[in-house]
Order: sequence, then structure tokens, then C-alpha cells
Amino acid sequence: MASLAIRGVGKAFGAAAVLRGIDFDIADGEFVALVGPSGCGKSTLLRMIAGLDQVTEGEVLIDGSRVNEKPSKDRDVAMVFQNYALYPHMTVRENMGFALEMRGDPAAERRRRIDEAAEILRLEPLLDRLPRQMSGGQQQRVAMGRAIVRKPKVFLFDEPLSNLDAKLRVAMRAEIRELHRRLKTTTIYVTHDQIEAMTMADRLVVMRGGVVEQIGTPLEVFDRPANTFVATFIGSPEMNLIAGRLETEGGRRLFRSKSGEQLAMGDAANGIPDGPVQLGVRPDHLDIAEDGLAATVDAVEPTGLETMIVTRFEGQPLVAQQHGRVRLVAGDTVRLQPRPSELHFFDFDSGRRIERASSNAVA
Amino acid sequence: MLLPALAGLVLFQFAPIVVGLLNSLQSFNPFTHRASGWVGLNNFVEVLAEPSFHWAVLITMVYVVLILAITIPLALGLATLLNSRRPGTTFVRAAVLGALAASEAVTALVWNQMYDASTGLLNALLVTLHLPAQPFLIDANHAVVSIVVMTVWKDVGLAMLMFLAGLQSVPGSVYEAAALDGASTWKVFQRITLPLLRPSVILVMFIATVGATRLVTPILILTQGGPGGSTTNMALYSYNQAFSFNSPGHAAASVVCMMLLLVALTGGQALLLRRRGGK
Amino acid sequence: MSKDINNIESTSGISRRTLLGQMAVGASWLAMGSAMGWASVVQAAPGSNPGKYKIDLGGYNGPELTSEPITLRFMRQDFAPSVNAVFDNAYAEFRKAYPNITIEEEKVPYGDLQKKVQVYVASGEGPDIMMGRNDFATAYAAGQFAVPLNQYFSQEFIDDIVDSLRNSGSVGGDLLCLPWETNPVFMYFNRDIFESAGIETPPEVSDITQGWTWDQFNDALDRLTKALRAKGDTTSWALAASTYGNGGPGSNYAQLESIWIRSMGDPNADKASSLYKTFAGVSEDGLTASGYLDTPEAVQGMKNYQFLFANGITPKGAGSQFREGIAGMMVGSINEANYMTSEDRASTPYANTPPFKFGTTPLPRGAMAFSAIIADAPFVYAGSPHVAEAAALLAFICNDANRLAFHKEWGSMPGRKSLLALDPRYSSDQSYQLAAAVAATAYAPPQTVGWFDYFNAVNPAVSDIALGADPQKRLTNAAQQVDGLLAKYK
Ligand SMILES: Nc1ncnc2c1ncn2[C@@H]1O[C@H](COP(=O)(O)OP(=O)(O)OP(=O)(O)O)[C@@H](O)[C@H]1O
Ligand SMILES: [Mg+2]
Repeated sequence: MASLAIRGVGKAFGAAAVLRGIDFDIADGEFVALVGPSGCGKSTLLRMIAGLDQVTEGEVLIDGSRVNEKPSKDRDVAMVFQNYALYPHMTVRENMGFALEMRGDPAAERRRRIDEAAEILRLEPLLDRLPRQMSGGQQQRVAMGRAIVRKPKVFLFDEPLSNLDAKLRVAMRAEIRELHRRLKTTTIYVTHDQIEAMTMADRLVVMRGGVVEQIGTPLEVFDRPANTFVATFIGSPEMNLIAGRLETEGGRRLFRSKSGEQLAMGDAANGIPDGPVQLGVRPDHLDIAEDGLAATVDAVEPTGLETMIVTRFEGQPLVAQQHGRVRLVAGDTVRLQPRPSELHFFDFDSGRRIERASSNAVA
Repeated sequence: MLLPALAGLVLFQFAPIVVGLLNSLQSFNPFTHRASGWVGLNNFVEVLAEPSFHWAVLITMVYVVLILAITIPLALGLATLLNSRRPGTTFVRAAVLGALAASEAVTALVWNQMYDASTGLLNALLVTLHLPAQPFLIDANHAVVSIVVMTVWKDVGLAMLMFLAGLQSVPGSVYEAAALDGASTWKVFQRITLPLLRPSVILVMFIATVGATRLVTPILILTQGGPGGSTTNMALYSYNQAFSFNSPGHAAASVVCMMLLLVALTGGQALLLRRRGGK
Repeated sequence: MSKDINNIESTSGISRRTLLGQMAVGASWLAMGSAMGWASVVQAAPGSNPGKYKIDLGGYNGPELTSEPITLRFMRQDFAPSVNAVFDNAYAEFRKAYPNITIEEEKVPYGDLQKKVQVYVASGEGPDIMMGRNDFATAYAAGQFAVPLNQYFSQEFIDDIVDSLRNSGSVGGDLLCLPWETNPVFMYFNRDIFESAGIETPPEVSDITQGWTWDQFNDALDRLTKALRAKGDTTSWALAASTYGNGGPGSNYAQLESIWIRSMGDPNADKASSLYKTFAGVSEDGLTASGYLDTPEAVQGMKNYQFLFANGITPKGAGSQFREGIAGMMVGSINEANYMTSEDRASTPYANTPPFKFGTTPLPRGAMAFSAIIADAPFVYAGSPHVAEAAALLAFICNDANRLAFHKEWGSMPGRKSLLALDPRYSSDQSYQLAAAVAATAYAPPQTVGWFDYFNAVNPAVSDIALGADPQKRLTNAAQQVDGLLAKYK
């Protein structure tokens, strides 16, 4: 087990810079999820930590010592690949024992550790199978088994569940979580599935286009997204953003949309100066009301407990989530009223979060 | 749709074998080379009684063993080198594939000149390096090796390509997993690459065995089977029986023997490899 | 000068006189040798049949040719374009007279000819005329696939063929193939190399019994080699590599290396003697080589041969050292002299070699002066559906005009006495006289129907001996192999 530090790390493939100024620490035993859209550099970062790609800028430290120049085989990190990368010609037992054999563990010790890991992962009946004789989920568990038998300093997971069906994915999520609870191995878990990230990780590192957008616990990131990207990326269905300006009229704060629709702000915008702003509101904080923003219903999607009302406001989609059923059809006009205490404000141009004065009280 | 293909297969694959079999059971007019009657296994009895045929069988196997023993590691090494995409490998690739593309006869003629004891390039090279000149095609043992070296040089590209295809079909992440598992380069090769290349190895072995068994052009051009018949394999023996010694019956009989040997060799390999693979 | 050459002169008196008449006009005899001189006399040459057919069908005296449209196929070796043109011109002339007869040629590399003949004969559908060789006449007779030419050619024409050639192409009185040129084998030397090394040159005589003996030959070439090396010359050789067959040692026993062995024998010795057997090369019934190919005399012959390689006198590989001006001697035929004296040297193999002085001498001799007579000899395929027309076409190709045009371009020696007589050099120049003398006295190969097997088995043995194999063991081994190969002809 170990701590990990990423210090000003950048990566360029030739002239193309794919990562810039990545900077964060991971404490011993922490479970950190790297999230971000496809192509943002998650795998690249993970591979640099593993030593599979060279670090072109900055430092990677494991337990405080620089490992940039250390070959993979000497870093004592284990990685679970997206395609599992099992050795196709080896049985489960051999796959799991390979690393132990390479470092010279005696046969008895190897056997003990493999059996132990197999028990945790319920792989005992599969130990003599070849990878091609197993289902995706089973192979995934073998890949994990291969990582855990070694008791490495760090676990690296690169979208290990992306090849599994939804149900299995949910089950495996819990297993990995449980595994981490038992082993307490420092873990970095790459995913582009924000629910996965939210439910599993102690902390999230949200990335986009080669830079880190926000680091924090899942709830921190959910409740106080640092910018419009994080706001829309984390949470499902995603947060609505409405462009407009804050104004003060006769001492009352109000938000005026582009077409002139008004929302009373009450105390919600305290400390935020007048001017253009992006208003953020999660769908379940938008209520159907007597007054509010007049939007046209595009679609009504009942999901059972909840109903999604997809509307169009000023040409932009605006989604509301209501508990229970609603009697609306496409083409209807509804008035949507955000709950003032749940509003997020973002700088109109940079998209950066603007904290309101009373936010601490509200949170 | 199937019928013409089948007919073609029968015509070009099996017809010669059947004709060879039939010929091996007949006697021939040595002047006109026309069949003159059935003689049972007489051709076989006569051929098998020939000491020169015994030698040809032995030397056929020597070629097979030597060619396999050199081709497979060399091709594997070259394929690994090319797969690494290190700078300069394009040159190696071009050279190896160039050799493969060249005509066998032309290659043999060029090597024949290089091997020439008094005027050849190789001996000139040895002499400038203050090494003793070698009787490349003159001494029996040298001649066998010279033929093998030329053949390997010529054909290693095909085996290399097959290995390269095999290497490239292994996902890179498997090697990365091995690196993370702490395997050294050699261990990776021994425990990952080699076992994963098994299908390619089997294929290369099969193709090289067939090629080495049927080897004839380089022998014909480099040594004409000499000195003293020491480089004459079964293929050349058959060729000689047919074209130099007016004995189509003997030629056919020895070809049939050669095919049997080929079946035995490849069958034996298959058995051996299957047993080792299926452990 | 041998008796046969006098013979040629007497049988071709007319043309001799015509030529002499032209010489009187004042041209040099060399210029006379050109086709211009010959062209003016061909009408009168014997062997031709002027007037009898639509064109000069040479020695043909068979039935008039068919008027049905037919195709005749002729398989021969490929020559240089200028020589091939001679054939094309002849065909054009033939077609003018017989437009119903189409001629198709198949040209194959020289080395593949005899195998190609075999394949065609085995298939039962050969070309109407195929290029054979006189030393296979016995096989042609035994296999019955060559038409006896006596049936279609005049006796006068057949008698005109140089005796040794005619005999070698005949079996039991039937002429089975038509030896159409001859390449008598003798030796050339580079006078400049001998003189600068201070070694005496060999006797320049046309009497084949007056050349060097094998001992003298080996001794002189050994000294020449040492003299060359002493001067620091490491590229020149005393003796050039064989240019026969595929070149190098063991290249062509039929034409070349048999000289070393069979000259150690004697055709006039008692038939039970080792001397006779050495000459014969094979038993009377043509089925046993042991005791013939491996006699003590034969072994000595091969020791003489091996000496040349063991002492660095001649290269162990192939090459054309004499033509490059870097060999003291070479074995060759009259073509070399023709090339070296050609007005158009640039089109000869000597094009890139500065001229040097050359001389000719008989082959070295052992118990006898021996040379083998080997000649390309087309034959008419017995399976041809148009035997008479094929014979007529062959006769046409071999009429005087077409033969002379061929010899002029190709440089080889005519195989008919009347044609030889047209070239004054064969009676006045030592090299040509030597060639004629060799042609007149050359011998057929060992008399066996399995001659093809025989030399194919002996060539590698000769090669091995050149490269160091024990002559006694290797010859015995080869003889046993030949015995085995000949068994099938019993
Ligand atoms: N070997 C390479 N050479 C050049 N560019 C590369 C290389 N590997 C990755 N990239 C680029 O680097 C960027 C980041 O790639 P990376 O694989 O790290 O993305 P990711 O966040 O893991 O995406 P995904 O969720 O799709 O797996 C991408 O734009 C990709 O095209
Ligand atoms: Mg990725």
C-alpha cells in the first residue's frame, strides 16, 4: 500500500499534447475515480502511472519517490485492463500466479495466495479454465484476481466494467467496492460513467481535454460543481443551464432570460453582482408551477417512479423531473419554477462557478 | 459453383499424385518414356536397394532438420525485431522480403558465384579478413551447409512474415500486463510470445518441412547433387532418375517414397506438437 | 594433313576450281571466305537438287510436297538474333514456294534441348523436326522415333557428310539424324602469355599425333602457372575453365572430359586388353561400364585431369578466362578462330578483350590422339503426320545456301565435305587444317543405348575428381552406377 502523487504531469505524443499540468495527491488506501469524456486522457494518465507510457513532463511519485524512470515491472502496481488482457494460453490459476512466479514466490505461497484470491472473487470452480472458456464477467474477475494476488502498492483499473451488461456492472461495482474495503489498497479507477464514479470513489478527479476540471468527494462535486462542464457531466439527467442576466429592480433581485422571462431570486443570488450569468438547475429542482419559465413540452418520458418532462425554452432543452405521473403531452406549454435554494450560478463567459454569500447556510 | 472448384482441385492436386502412384507401379521404355507394363512393387524394390537412394533419404532429413533449426529461430528473431518498429527495421524488412521475392534459380546462380572457391565473393572476404578460404561447394559437408544457408537466406522471409502476423495478432495489452507482472524481456518471450505463436510455429514448421523436403533447384544449381552425390536428396534423386537416367518408374517410386516421408515427418510433428500443446 | 582432307578436295573439284578462278581475280582468300564468294557458287554445289522441286530442297529426293495446308514444327536451340535471322530468311523463301505450309519454330535454351526432346517423345506429340545430337543415334534407333533419312535424302548428299559424323549419326546403315555442323575439339593458346612467361609454346601443327603428350602438357602448364604467380599475377590461369555444357569441371563428358580418359586407350589394341577397354568405355554389348570406365589407364587419365585443379593450373569454377585474355590455353573449336579473326570483333565474345596473338595445337595425347565427335543433328520425328514434308524442310534448311549463311553467322565448321571445300582456309591455314583433321578422325562416344544415362552419371564423377575425389574410387563408383543404369536396357 502506498500514497501516490501526480506533480505537474503532462504528456505529449510527438507534437500533440494530450495532458497538461495534472496535479493531485492520493492518500494511502484511497479510492479515486478518474472521470471524463472519451479522449480526455484518462487512460494515458493511468498508463503513465503504470509505467507503460513515458512521462514527458512533471513527476509521478509513489510513496514519495519519483518513479518516472522506473520500468513497469519494478513499480509494484497492478492494472486491470479494459479488455482484461488475460494470457490466453494460461489457465486462471496460471494467469493469477504469473506475477508471483516472476518475482520468485515459492510454489506453496503462490498456491495459498491464489486460493485466497479465488475465494474472495468466487473463482474456485474456474481455476483450471482457459480465458476463452469463460464469460466476460468471469474473465473480469480473473483480471482482478491477477491484480490482487500480488498485494501491489497501487491498483489501477481502466474501465474494467465497460464490457459488461448493465446488471453485471452494478454487481461488479459493489464487488470492487467491497474488495477495496477489505484490502484497502490505494486505487485509481478510470471510468467515463459518472454514476460508477459517484458510487464507488472516495474522491473524483474530473478531467476534460487533458486537464483536471475538479477534484473532490462525489457529493462536493455534485453539489458544488466547479464549472458548467462538471455541472453537466456529473449527475443524471444532467443539470439545465439557462443563459440570462441578474438584475436588481426596486431592491429585488431577479433573473431575466434572453427573451425577457423573469424569475424572482429572493435571497438565492445574494452576493452575486448584476450582470450576465448562467443559471444552473438540476431537473429534479424544477417544479411545474403557476408562474415561472414558459416552456414547450417536447416529450414526456415516464420512468415509473419519476417522469421526465423534456421541454424547449428559448430554443434550448430544459428538462424537469417530477415525482409521480403528470398529464402533459407534447406541444403543451408549462411554466417551470426552479427552487431558489438549489440554484447554481456560473460566470457567463468562463462558465466558472460563482459562490453566493449565503451558500454555506444553504448547504 | 462448387463443382468447377472441385474439378480444379482434383485435377491439379490429386491427379499428379495418382499419376505418380500409377507410374511407380509400371515399367517404362527408357527411350520413349512410355509405360510398358505393370511391375507391381518392382520399382520400389529396386530403388530401395540403391545405396544412393538410402543416402538421398538421409540427406533429405538432414536438409529438413538444418533448415528448420536455422529458419525458425532466425525468422522469429527477425519478426520480433520488425515488430518492435525500431528505426532501421524497414531496411531489414525490405532486404528479407526482397530475397523472398527473387527467383529461386536466379538466387542460386548468384550464390553459386559467391561460393566459388577461387573467384567467389565469400572467399575473397575471408581472405581479406585473414581467415582461411573455405571449400564451400567442394567439400561434402560444406556443400550441404552452403545449400542450407542459401535456402534459408532465400526463404526466411516467408516464415518471418508468418511470425510477424502471429505477433501482431497478440494484443499489446497482454505484453503490458506481463510487464506489470514483473516479467523480464526474456521471460516475456519465453512464457508469453512463444506460446502465443504456437499456431504460427506449427504453420511455419509445416511449410518449411515441405519446402525443405522438396528442395531441388538450389542443389541442382549449386552442386548438381555432388560432390559424390553427397548433396543429392530424394527430390533430386527422382529428378535425376526421370531426366538424366531415363527411369520414369524409379523416379515415380522415389517420389512416392518422398511423399510418404513427408507425410511421416509432418504427421510426426503434428503429433508431437499436439501432445505438448494439450498437456 | 590427313588423307580425308585430300578426299574432300577431290570430290569437290568443281567448286574448288570455281573458287580458285575467283581468287585469280585478286581478292585475298580471307575475303573469299565470305558469303559473297560462296553465294556465287552454290548453284553448282553437289548435294543440291536444282530444278527438281519448286525451290532448292538440297538433298531431298522424296515425293513432291503436299498442296494441302499443313503446319510443320521445328524445335531447335535459340541462337543470337543474327543467326536466328538466317532461319527466318530461309522460312520466308520456303513459304514463297509452298504457301500452304506454315512453319512454326520452338526455340529452347541449348541446355534444355535433349530433355525437351525426351518430353516430346514421351508425350507422343513432338514437333516434326527436333534438334537432336549425333551421339544419341543409337537411342533414336532403339526407341524408333527418328525417321531414317535414307528414305528421303539422296545417297550423294549423305555421302557428302564428313565420314566420322555420318558414321556417328548412323545405326545399321540408317542415317537417323543429320549432323549439320561439327565442332572438332583442339587447343588454343595465348602466345603473349606464354612468351612473357618464357615458356615454350606448344607445337603448332595440324597433325593430331604431333601435339604434346599429357605429361608435356601438364608440365608446361604447371611451369606456366608458377611463372605467372612468380610475377605476382594472381588473376591469370594457365588453362581456362571448360566452356562446354554448364562450364567448369565435369561440364560435358561427351565432348570434353572423355578426352582425358579415352586417349589413354587404344582402339587397335586387343579387345581383351585394358587399353582397348579404356578406349571403348563400355562392353561390347553396351551394358557394362565396370572394367571399362575404371581401368588403370582411365584412372591415370583422371589423375592427369586432377593434376590441373590440384596445382591451381585451371579454376575450379566456370568462366571464360581465355576470351578475357587471362588464360594461357583453352580447349575449343574452330568458332574461336573465327571470332578472333572476325572483321566484326565487336559482335564476338572477344569484343571487350584487347587482341592478343593466338595459336592452335592438337589436344594432348596419351596412348592415342583422341577426340570425340559431337554435333547437333536434327532428326525427323517418326510420329510426324507429315514425314516427307518435314524431311523436305530439313533438306531445305540444309541446302548449301542456307548452310553457308548459317556457318557464316554462327562460325561453326560445316559438316559436309563439299561445303568445307568451299572455304580455302581448311586447306591453307594451320588452325583450320587442324580442325578438319580432328573432324576426320574423331570418334563416336562409347557405344551404348544408354549413352544418355552414361554421361549423366560420369559428369558428376569428373567434377568430383576435379575437386579432389580419389580418381580410382570415384571412377569405380561411377562405373558401378552406370552398370546399374544400363541394366534396364537389357
Ligand atoms: N499512442 C498515442 N499517440 C498519439 N495520441 C494518442 C496516443 N494514445 C492516446 N492518444 C491521444 O491522447 C488522447 C487521450 O487518450 P486516452 O486514451 O488517454 O483517452 P481516454 O480518456 O482514456 O478515452 P476513453 O474514455 O475513450 O478510453 C486522445 O486524444 C488520444 O487520441
Ligand atoms: Mg481509455
